[in-house]
Amino acid sequence: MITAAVLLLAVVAVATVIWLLKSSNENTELKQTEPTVQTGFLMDTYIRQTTYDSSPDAGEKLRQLFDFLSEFENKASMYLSDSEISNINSHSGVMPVKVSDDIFQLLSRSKELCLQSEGRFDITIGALTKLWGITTDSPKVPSEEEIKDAQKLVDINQLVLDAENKTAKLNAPYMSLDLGGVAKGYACDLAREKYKELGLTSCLLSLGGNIYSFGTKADGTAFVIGLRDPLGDADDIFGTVTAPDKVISTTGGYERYFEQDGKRYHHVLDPKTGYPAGSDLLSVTIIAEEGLLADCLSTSLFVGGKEAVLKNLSQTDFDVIAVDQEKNIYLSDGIRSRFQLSEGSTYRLADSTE
Amino acid sequence: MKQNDALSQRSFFHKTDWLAVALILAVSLGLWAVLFFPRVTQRLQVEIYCDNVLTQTIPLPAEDKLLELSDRQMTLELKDNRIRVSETNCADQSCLRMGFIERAGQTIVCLPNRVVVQITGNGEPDSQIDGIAG
Repeated sequence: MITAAVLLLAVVAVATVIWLLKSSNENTELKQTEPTVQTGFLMDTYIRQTTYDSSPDAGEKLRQLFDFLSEFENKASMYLSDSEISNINSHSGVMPVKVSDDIFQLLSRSKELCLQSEGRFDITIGALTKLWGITTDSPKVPSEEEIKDAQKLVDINQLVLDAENKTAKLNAPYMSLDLGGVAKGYACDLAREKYKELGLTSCLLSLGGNIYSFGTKADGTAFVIGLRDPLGDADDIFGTVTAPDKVISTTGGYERYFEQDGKRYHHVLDPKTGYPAGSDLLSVTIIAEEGLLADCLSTSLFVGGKEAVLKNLSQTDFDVIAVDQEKNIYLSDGIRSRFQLSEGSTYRLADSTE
Repeated sequence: MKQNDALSQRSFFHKTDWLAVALILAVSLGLWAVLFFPRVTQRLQVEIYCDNVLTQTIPLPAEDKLLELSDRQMTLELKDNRIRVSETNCADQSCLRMGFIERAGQTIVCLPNRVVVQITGNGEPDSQIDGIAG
C-alpha cells in the first residue's frame, strides 16, 4: 500500500519536474530568442542588421533591405562611374541632368542643410575629397596651391536644382558632388520606410557611423547603443544611450585617416580651410528622427567644434553627445535621461552651462 | 482501523520504497541533464565572409591553424579556439589591431579587403550592448 502511494507520489513529482523544466525552457527561449543577423559591405562601409523578428523569412527580409540599399548606392555613389551623382559630376558646367525622385529629395534637403551650416558642411566638396584621396589606397597631402584651386570648386550655391523637371546641375566645370556626409544617414531614412513595407517589427541597422534603432528587442526593451571611445579600440565605449526609432550618427577624426611625416590627417575636411578639420572635439554624435539631418549635423558640428556644439544643446529636433580633447562629455537637454556613462570610464560629464 | 494497524506494524519506509525513491531521483536527474545541458553547451562557429559571400565556416572547437585568404593577401590565425587577423596588406591595419575574438557576436571587419570574420552560436553574447555608434 505504502509502496503504491510512494510510487504514485513519485510519478506526480517526476511529471511536475518535467513540466516545470519544459515550461521554464520555453520561457527562456522566448526571452532569449536568437536575433537574425545580416552583415556585408555597402556604401564604402560595413553594414550590420540585427532583428528579433520571429517570422521565418526574417533573414530574407534583411537581404531585401540590403539589396534595396545597394540599388540606392548605385545611384548615389561618386565612385561608381554610371551613378546619377557621377552623371551630374561629369556634366558639371555643361548641362542639367535628370535624376530619380529619391536622389532629388536627397539633394534638395542636403542643400538646405548645407546653407544652414554656415559653411561648415558642403556636399559640393568632391574636388577636395578627390584631391586628398583619404579614403583611397593612395592618400597624400596636397600642395597649398592645389588646395586653393580645389576650394574654388566648392560652393553649394552653384548646385542648381529644378524641382519641376527633377534635374540637377553644377554650374562650374570640374565641380563635383560628394554625398559621403549625408548618403548613409539618408539610407537610414529609406530603411525606415522599407522595413515597414517588408512588415518587419524591429531591426537595429548599423551603417558606417550611423545606427538606426527601429522597434524593440524581443523582450520589448529598447536597443542599447554603445558610444565609441574615440581614443580606444573599435569595441571600447565611454557610455550608452537608448534612442527608440531614431538615427544615431557619429563623426570623429579617429575612424579614417592616414599619416604622413609623422602627422595624422583624418577624413573630415573643413570646406573653409580645405584641410582636415582642426576640431577641438574628439567626436560628435547626433540623435534625430531624420537620418539625413543626423548624419549632416554630426559632421558640421564636429567641424564647428565645441563652440558650435554649445550653441546647439537645447534644440527640439535633435540631440547632441559631444566629447572634447580633455575627455569632457557635452549632453543636450533631451538626451540626459537616456545617457549612461560607462562604469570606470575616464570620461566625465561637463557642465553644459559653462 | 485495520489499515492503521498495518501501518504501525511496519517501518514508515520499506526497503522497496527506498529503491523506488532512488530510482525516481535517478530518473529525474537524468531528465534534468537531458533537458538542461544542451542549452548550456555553446556551439560556436567562425564564419568568414569575402565580398558579402560566406566562404568558410569553422565549427569550434577547432585545431590551431593559419588560414590564408590568398586572393587578398590576408592571413587569419586560429589559436586556442580564438581567431584574429595575423597578417594583412591593407593600409589602415585596424583589423589587425582588433586582436583575437572568441565570443558569439564578436566581429572583425576589414573594409579595404572587404572581409568579415565573425563568431556566431547559441551562446548569449556577454555584452549588454546591441550596437556601437562611431
